[in-house]
Amino acid sequence: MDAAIVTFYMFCGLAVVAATGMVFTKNLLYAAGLLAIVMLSLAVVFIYAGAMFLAVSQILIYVGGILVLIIFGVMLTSRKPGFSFEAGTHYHFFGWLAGLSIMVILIMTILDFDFTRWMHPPEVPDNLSGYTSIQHIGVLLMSKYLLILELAAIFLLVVMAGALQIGAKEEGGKAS
Amino acid sequence: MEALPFHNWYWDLIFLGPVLGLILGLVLFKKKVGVFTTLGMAFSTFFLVFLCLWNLDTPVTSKIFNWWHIGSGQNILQVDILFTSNRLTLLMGSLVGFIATLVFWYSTHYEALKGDKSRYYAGLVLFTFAMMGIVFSGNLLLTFVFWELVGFSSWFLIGYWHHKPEAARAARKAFLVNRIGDIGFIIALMLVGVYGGTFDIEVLLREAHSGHQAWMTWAGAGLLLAVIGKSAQFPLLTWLPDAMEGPTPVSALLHAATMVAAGVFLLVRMFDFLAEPVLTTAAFVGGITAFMGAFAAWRQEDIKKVLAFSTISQLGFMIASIGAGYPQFAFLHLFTHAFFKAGLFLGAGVMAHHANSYSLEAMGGMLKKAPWVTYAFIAAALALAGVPLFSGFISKEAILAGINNWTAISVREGFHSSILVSILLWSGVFLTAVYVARMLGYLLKPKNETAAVSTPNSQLIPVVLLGIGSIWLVAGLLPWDFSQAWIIDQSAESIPEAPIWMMPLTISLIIFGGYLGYRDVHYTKQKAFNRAVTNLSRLNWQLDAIYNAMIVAPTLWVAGMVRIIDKKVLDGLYNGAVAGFVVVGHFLNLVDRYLVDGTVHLSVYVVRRSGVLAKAGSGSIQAYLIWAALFLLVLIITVFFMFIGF
Amino acid sequence: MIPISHFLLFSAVLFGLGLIIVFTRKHILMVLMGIELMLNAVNINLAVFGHWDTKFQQGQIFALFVILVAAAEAGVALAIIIKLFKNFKTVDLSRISGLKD
Repeated sequence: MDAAIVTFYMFCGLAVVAATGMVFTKNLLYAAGLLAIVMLSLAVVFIYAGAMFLAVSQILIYVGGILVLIIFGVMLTSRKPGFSFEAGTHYHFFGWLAGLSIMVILIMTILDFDFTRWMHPPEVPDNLSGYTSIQHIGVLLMSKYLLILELAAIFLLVVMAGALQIGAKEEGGKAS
Repeated sequence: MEALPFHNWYWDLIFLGPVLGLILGLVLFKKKVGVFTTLGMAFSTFFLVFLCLWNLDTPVTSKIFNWWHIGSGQNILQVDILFTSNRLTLLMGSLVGFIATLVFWYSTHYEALKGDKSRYYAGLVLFTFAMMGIVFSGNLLLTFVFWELVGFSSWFLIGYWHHKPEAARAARKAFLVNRIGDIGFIIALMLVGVYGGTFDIEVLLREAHSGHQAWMTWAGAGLLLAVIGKSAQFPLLTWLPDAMEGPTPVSALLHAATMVAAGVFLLVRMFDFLAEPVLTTAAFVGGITAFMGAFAAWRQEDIKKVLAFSTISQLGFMIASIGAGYPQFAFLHLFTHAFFKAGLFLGAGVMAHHANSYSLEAMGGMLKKAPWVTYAFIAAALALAGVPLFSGFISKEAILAGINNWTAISVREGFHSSILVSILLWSGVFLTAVYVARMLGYLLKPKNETAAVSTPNSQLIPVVLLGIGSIWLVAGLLPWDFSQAWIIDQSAESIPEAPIWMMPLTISLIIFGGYLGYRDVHYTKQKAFNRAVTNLSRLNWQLDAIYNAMIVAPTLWVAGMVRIIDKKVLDGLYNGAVAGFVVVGHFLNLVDRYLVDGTVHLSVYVVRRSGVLAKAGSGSIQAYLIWAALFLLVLIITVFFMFIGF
Repeated sequence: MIPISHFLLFSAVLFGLGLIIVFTRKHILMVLMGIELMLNAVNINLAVFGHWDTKFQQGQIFALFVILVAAAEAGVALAIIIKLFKNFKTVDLSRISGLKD
């Protein structure tokens, strides 16, 4: 078996094991660390799916941004004296029942489907073969998807303002 | 006249006028947002009237773009964004625009709306926008989208003073009752999608014209149910009187042009699609509602309640006329009704400001306090009663002639109970005269108070304009001949002859009813019969109580029982099981302390944890999520078994 | 070449695990993490199927915007959680039941 393929399954396994750990761990900080492992493994999986740019942005945004946010959240909400990073569980029976059944149904559907048409990805067309994948995406983002990109920028601005507005302390009230 | 070539950007002018006005107002002058919005609406209306002049008789359907489609080849279901401009939609659109412009203008100085009006105007603009969508949409699915939007924005505006519990309650009631009707619309949409294969209204009408199929009957029945909900017809009429909790200009808009008119408009638009049984049902529903509404309006104490029930009654006339097979007459009445009802509501708002109350008792001496508004109000009220020389007379005469014709034909075919509809409508006309005269009697009762407040021009002019709009010239040149009304398309359908005895009968009914109603103000003898009538009328035939007893209470009872079962039985089982396991555990503990202990604890743990059932309504988000997921599972499995099979 | 179904199975497993986390954990931040996990699982599918669209790369671009929305969502969610913490003095979902009545 090819070493590259072995690497793929290794990272898949790592991600699944880390995610399973997230389901069971009691400590919030451990969970955040395991989430980081999942994200990094996913970046590798993206490379195997032919999405280089996505892999890079995955690491930048998720590991660099969102995880830091989550860890900040953990720190900000557990400042009470005597408060540990423990996080309990509830709804054991029905939560697991619903989650596992949906997972099983998804898996059954995938196993049932005939993927013969999807065996090999198509060749890169001639007019694009000069570009690498990342250059191509850059060109696309600046041409075909320019409007969406600008809208996304405005969206992020609005989100920033909204988050500030929500998180800010009340007027004339006590400080947070 | 030569028709204008129709471009797609016309729709932008029609739809976006008020929206642009609102945005400009919000950006530039937040204090003057009302003026900007009014100007935008006036611009759109002006354009629509212009289109009316040139394009009235050249129907155009423009496809804006392809929305989505399912399937391919022969079995494709294509849904396009279509807008239709024809005689009906252009007239209705101009009407909606005109009324909305006046209401927007009126609202700029409406006193009860203190402070920031941007939320109010945003709601009004959304309301009008959605109504324009219903009017011009050429696609039944698109109509449904706007239909729901109208429902949503009416909820928003009825509950505008959301800190008042009654307003919030009324808004909720309106929303929920409308949902019942919308089930009908959804069923109709499903049937149309599956059997008709297209949502294009023009195509559907053509198909129905070439021959009715069985599914069209059921789809039409669904549409009728939707209209019953939206236009407050017989079983679902209780929400409209409660909707008075919103600001008065909103009531004017809701009653005249946007919300309740949408239902009647939909039936007129889809008329060819409706099968015979649906139409007959509509005639009966309309007749019953016309009578019930008029009776309930009789002894109300609140002027807005009188007007609300009169709207219900007049809508009943329209629905009955559609049911009898004369949608044009229903539309004529919708048209004249919009003018005088908007005038009545806006006038009532001004007068309530003078009297500091909406109660009829407090309204005396209005002629001195606000003469012009009162004159306009009287003109509108006379139109409502159907007095000759006013617009209501023409349209009501048309409806009665249509009903008379329908009854005659039905009786000839052996369908004798159709006489009932006729009787109900005639008594509706009589009762209308009674309650209008009573209302006017209270207004004109002399009262020694001098004018304290002045009416701003922005309120005076709309009311007076609408008062002028209540005279016969709005409908047609001849005040006695409905067949010459300019709205009616002479080529479309046969116009029935009014029998010679009809006009004297209506006029004498109106005079007699007016006398009775006017007497009602001054001589209120407290006889037992009189009191019973008053109670029955004031409480709207006890409908609210009946619905409470028949629907709300049983639902609550079931919910309560479920809760008790949950609490007593399930918790008891759970406690019992826990106790049982613990007992067994102790027993086994003696036998084998070390081997079984763990197992027992595990069982206790499992049982305790599966007590999640008892927490079903716990208010926790996750519990709701889990239930939603489990239901999804059930759905998926059912679909598998039904359509695919394992 | 790795068969496409293996990517899909992997994503299904991750999605299921994320769902279980969302359902069963009490801490609101854990729920947030579960949602992120589910979003990522969806992204795998998008990226894999996007491999077939060589011309416009719609899969990758879509996944990119999903990441963007997830980032925005995390930011707003954090603000809401802090507000929630101020109001309820806890982030334990089993003790926050404002939806009741």
